[in-house]
Amino acid sequence: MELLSVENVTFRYPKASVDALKEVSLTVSEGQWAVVCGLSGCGKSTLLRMIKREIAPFGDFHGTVRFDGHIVRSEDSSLPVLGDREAASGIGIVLQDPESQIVTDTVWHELAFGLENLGLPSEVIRRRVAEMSAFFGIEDWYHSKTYELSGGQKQLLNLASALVMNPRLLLLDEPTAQLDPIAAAEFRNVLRRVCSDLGVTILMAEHRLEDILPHADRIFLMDGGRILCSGGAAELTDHLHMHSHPMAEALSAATRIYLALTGGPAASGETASAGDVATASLPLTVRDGRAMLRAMFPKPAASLPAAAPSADTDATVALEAKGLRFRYDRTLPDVLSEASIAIRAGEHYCLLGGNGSGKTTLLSLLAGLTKPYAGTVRLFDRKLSSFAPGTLYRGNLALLPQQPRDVFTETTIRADLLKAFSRVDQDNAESSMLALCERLRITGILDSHPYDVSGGELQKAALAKVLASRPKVLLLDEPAKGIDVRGKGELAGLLRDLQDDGVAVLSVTHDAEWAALHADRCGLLFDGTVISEADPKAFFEGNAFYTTAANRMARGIIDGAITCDDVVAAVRGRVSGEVSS
Amino acid sequence: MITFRQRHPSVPLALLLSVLLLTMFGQSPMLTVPAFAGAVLFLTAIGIRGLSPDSGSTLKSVLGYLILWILVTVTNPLFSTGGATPLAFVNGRPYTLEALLYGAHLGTMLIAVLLWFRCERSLVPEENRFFLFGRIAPKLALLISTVLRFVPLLRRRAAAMRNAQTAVGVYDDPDWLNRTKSHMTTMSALTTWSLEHAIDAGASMKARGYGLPGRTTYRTCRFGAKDALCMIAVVALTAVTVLSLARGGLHYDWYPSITTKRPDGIDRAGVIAFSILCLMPFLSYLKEEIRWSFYRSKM
Repeated sequence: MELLSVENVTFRYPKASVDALKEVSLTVSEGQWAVVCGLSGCGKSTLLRMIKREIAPFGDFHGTVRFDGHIVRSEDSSLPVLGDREAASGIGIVLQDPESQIVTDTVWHELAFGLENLGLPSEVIRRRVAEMSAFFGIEDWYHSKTYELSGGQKQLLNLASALVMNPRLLLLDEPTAQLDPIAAAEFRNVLRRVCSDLGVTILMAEHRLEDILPHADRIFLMDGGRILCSGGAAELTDHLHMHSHPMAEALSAATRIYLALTGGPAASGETASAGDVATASLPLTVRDGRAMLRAMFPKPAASLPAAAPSADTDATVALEAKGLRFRYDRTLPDVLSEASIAIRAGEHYCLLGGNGSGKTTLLSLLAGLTKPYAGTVRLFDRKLSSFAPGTLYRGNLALLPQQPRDVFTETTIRADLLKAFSRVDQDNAESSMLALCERLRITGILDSHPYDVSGGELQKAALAKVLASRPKVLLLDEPAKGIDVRGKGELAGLLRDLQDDGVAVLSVTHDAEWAALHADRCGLLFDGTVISEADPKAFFEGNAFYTTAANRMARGIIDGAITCDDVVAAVRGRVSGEVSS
Repeated sequence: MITFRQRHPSVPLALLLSVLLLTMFGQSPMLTVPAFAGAVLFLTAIGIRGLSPDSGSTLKSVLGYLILWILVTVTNPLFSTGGATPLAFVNGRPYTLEALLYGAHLGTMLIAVLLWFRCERSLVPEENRFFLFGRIAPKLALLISTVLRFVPLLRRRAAAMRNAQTAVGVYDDPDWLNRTKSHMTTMSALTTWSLEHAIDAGASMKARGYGLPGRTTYRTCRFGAKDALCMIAVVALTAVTVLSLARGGLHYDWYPSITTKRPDGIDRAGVIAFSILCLMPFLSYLKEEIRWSFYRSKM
């Protein structure tokens, strides 16, 4: 049965020159988990907001949205319309930012909020809130203040507060984009239970296909406000591959390796050149991928030829910290204890670490924003404190914070960047700014307000502002968070160029794939210190869990394979006899 | 836990109101001293048990109160020269014993009132206070809840923004005028963020049906028989105290020399009633403690 149907919806924001949505039609059946995927700015968020009419943006709307046979929105006002109460409780929504959706100060009140609005008697509210708390395991923090919660808990609370109203359809707009991988995985597990145990229909906007394809029943690919393709994981993969769509890079490692080896699911029947890629269906998960590889490589394990050591170890040390100790309060335990790190000129160092391991704290110490109670930070062999005011953050050191919007203070990105560039070079500010924006492909958003552009675009604009002062050491806090695959590639390219100019880059991240592809050296921050520093290959080879999907897939089958390209090279090499097995 | 926390919020509120008003307007050391003692006993007891919401800064706050008390006591004679027993002469003005004692009385009263405000936080749990509000003005109650959420958020955002701006070199300008300007711009950006946040929060509220007619509230407190009994006790004790106050039995004349009426039975009853009132939070806590230790010994 169709629960939701969107019929020929076209939408244009006021003052916009192009339609945000063009003739979009889709249906979602009761109990399905449907996903709308696409690059940033493809219209997927706008589409979700069309369905939740309470928060629909103003603009020029055509078409019809039906929920359970009733009209949610339509230009034809004569049709029977879904009641306000039914619309509020029947369709729940969880947005991207965990923080801004919470309304009240305590967890229990947040859970009760929607039910209070519906005017239910307090016994009913109590029962529903209790049920939901038990389902989500919220009991332990039921009385907590909402501002004390972690990002993952906040987003779970947002989900619970939407579900407590017993919606039949749940809309999710990139709900895990702001979460770290562990919290994101937990969130997805809860969603799976919501879908399978509670039978709630889900429509989710997401650009991280890797994590979501194994769960999705139906996927819609959006681009430029249109739906390009709809169907299961196989159809989507086929479409992405056939049209070389940039989203193909967002597929899981297993799928990408499979595609690289077979030349696409449609062609897999005929292509025998890649050898015996034996798999019944499209591999989506690490498990599928392992099975595929195991069939090709019976024991013993193959190993890739060891790569030549690439990092030149005699490059000058740009930023060095020794024996840093830090705690937020005298009574609290150390966040960092004896943390030491050295970043050389021209290298990209990726510091990985779990949630709350002190990565952001370390960055702020390295940037001189907070002071350690023991230990020193030296920039080009000079103490940070010895830099005269006005010299440290000009041409020496710059930090891109986790929330890129914190960097902006003006009403347009152009004004903000111009100000930053003219601080360094009054005369050529405009031209050098435009050149960098061109490079980052953000010239189109320069006249927008910093809050009106997508997360990925804002991240790039913030990087532009940070680079205005031409730093020799660049500190990045979660640079790849919330950016789609294309954006990640562009960002990495820019960092590579900076490195070639001798800039030292330190990025702290959760993203193992990012580190494996782009880092020169990796380190793990654990228990307040930096441990197991090595080049990405050695680093990820040594890790069993905290590593890339390709490495987890190939572990014990092809030794030393870290990225998808490594695996593909190993398979191809076996065909031509280069790999020792 | 503290028994008063389990009562209907109107009971501890009535007790607090009664103690505060009688201490402030009774103007008698026979009332300020029990009020002070009651608050100190209760706060110490829950402080030892670690039940106080602000047990961290005990030493600091004790020191603060002590300084405040001494300050009020020793400065009063400087302003008030009434009194028949000069202790010394400052700039030719008498520094009298009576004024010093009146200062001590004032100081004790002030601190007693401050301490009872502190007790309030332990006596009425936050959500119950919210409930009382919610009954009188539901919209206001929700507003307070959103503000309580927003303030720590704003503080955190402000710090993050300041750091971000520092690290891109905005505050590094050698010219102080430019630096000040940068700080102003950051402030205005923070305002923009707040408005943006308000829009998002508003969307989230509307998405969950805020504004539909017939809103209800989650929290309800029943006024039971035990609550009634407690309330009667509070009212009766207050009434006895008020009676003795009205008869002028507890009145003190401070100047020129300290004189008071010889207390009769009703006056004594008034003081005892008020003392019981002030000790109620402590006694109820003590009762709970004893009951728990018996309960535990049976386990």
